[in-house]
Amino acid sequence: MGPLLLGEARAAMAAVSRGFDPTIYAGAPSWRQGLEDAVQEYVTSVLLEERQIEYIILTAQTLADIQGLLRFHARRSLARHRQRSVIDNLLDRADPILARAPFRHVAGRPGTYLLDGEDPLAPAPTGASHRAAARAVATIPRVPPARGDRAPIVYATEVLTDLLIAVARCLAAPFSLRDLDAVLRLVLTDWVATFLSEDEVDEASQPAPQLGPEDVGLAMEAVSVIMEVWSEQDRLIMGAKLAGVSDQALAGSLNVSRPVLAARKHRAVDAMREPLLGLAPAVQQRVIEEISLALSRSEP
Amino acid sequence: MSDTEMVPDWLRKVLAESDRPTPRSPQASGGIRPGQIRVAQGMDGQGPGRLALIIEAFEDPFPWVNALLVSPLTEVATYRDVLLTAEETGLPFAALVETDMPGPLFQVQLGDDLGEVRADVLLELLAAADGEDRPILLERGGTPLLGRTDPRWPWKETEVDVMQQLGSSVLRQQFLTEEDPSLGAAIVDPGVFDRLESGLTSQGGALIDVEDLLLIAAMAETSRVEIPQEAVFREGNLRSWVTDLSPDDRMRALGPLLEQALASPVPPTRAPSVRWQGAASSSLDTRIAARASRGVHAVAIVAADRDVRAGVGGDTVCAEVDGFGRVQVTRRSVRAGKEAA
Repeated sequence: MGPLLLGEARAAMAAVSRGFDPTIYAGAPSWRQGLEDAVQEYVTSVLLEERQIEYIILTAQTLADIQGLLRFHARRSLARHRQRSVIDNLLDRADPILARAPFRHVAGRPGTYLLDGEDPLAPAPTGASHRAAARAVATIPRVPPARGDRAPIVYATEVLTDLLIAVARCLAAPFSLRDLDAVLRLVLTDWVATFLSEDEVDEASQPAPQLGPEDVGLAMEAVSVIMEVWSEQDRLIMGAKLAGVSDQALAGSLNVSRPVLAARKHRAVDAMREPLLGLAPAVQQRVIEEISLALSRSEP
Repeated sequence: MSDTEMVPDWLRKVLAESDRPTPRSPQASGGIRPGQIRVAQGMDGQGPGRLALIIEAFEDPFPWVNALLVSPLTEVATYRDVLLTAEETGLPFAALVETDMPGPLFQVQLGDDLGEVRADVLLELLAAADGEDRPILLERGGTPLLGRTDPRWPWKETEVDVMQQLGSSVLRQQFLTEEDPSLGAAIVDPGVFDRLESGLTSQGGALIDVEDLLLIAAMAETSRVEIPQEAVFREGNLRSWVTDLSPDDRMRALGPLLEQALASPVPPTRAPSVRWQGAASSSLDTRIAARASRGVHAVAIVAADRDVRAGVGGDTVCAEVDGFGRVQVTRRSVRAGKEAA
């Protein structure tokens, strides 16, 4: 990579960063002071270490293509910086939660945690178990970030505790903050995806509409009706479906055929229709979020 | 100031420390086959290309492949995207194979062979692309999309647009040739009528292999072949054939040939500009441009066996028709053309 390509990368980052807050995306009071750091991170991590410069060279046909792809990956670099800082905040907040019940440190293995009841000798989590854990907690509701929020909490403290329990249960083994980091990176893919399309930036910065107390009451009432109507098996099926488990895998674990599973799933979905009827879309969304949360709290 | 002096210290240091295995070099030659990762380009030739994994390759009715989009955006994987490492593909970087983004591509849309996946991985990806829940999705995929509010949704919508744009030429070709089969008919290379391999001798006109002539006549009876009128009615051709063919062969050959030739006058296209990538005959430029003007992006040419064997024009080449974009031109021997028809 020579000075001309570096110049193009710098121009791309300068053009892309204009719409973002330098305090959040570069940790600097202005882009005049933060741009060079952002360029270095972009060039070092994205273009060279990940060899995306080679992807650009392989697929571009014209200088305009190269410039367009450099801008695209510059946005990606900013988004990942943002994701990194959000996850670091969550890990900082997770640390004290993991220091108390129902978690405990694993004796003789500093920085390693275990959920009460899990096997301390179980093999270490793998990429596959990270993915399974991410799927299990993907639907846990988040606190929408406000515009310009420098340190979005993402999860309220009690929800973060639920998330950690759900992750630990899914990993079913001693785990470290590094494992948690891997799971959170999978769960928070949207912190990167949001920035991939220019049209999405402003929209993504908008907080979701807040529900009034009356709407929250309606949502919680619908949740309790649905949870009451559902059998234990319905809750198991819907929890698995919300976590993205396929019909085939779920049918296998329940030892039933796919058609039987499909019929039970449809019955459970039908049971939701009446309580949701007449509710505004935002209230319905809240119902789904609350159900996801309740199902992720329950024992598998 | 030299270039080296203009490279800042931090970059010089990063470049010096960068000691990664070099990915395999692009393989320019060799056939197109499932498992390969190549750069795919739109038939309009505009914009950057995209990496695509070939999952199936076909020859009929024209050379095309079924492919899945490959993305370097590993951090936004959904449940249908399979993460493959650089070591597994031979690409310089890790990449996602998007099993929910299949699409058809002409062979000429594909660039050099940049990487390849193992046969067992390809089988898993094929099944996943068919909608099956395969273990590879659980082991290598991301989290499921959570509906339209998921920020990855617009990314996937963009990917759909990309694949539709890349695959639209093949789909359009299929639609057009279903509507009007004559647009898919192979064109007989006039060079066929100028060859002497056996049988006939010249009577002052063209020379032709009897067997080829009879095969073309048989193809003409199925109406799936376009015989350039200007080739058949070239001075001396008909007289030569009438003189030299046996009465039986004359009956079998001349009727269908004349019928098709009369139905294939020179198209009224004004002096087209056709640029060929690689060596190729330009005697059919007008007819290829005429097809392109009707939206066709793939043309088959029936050529003399000797030309095809000699690789004149290559098996499949790309022609750029001004104002209409790229056309994939495939040359087949008379015998192969008869079998295809």
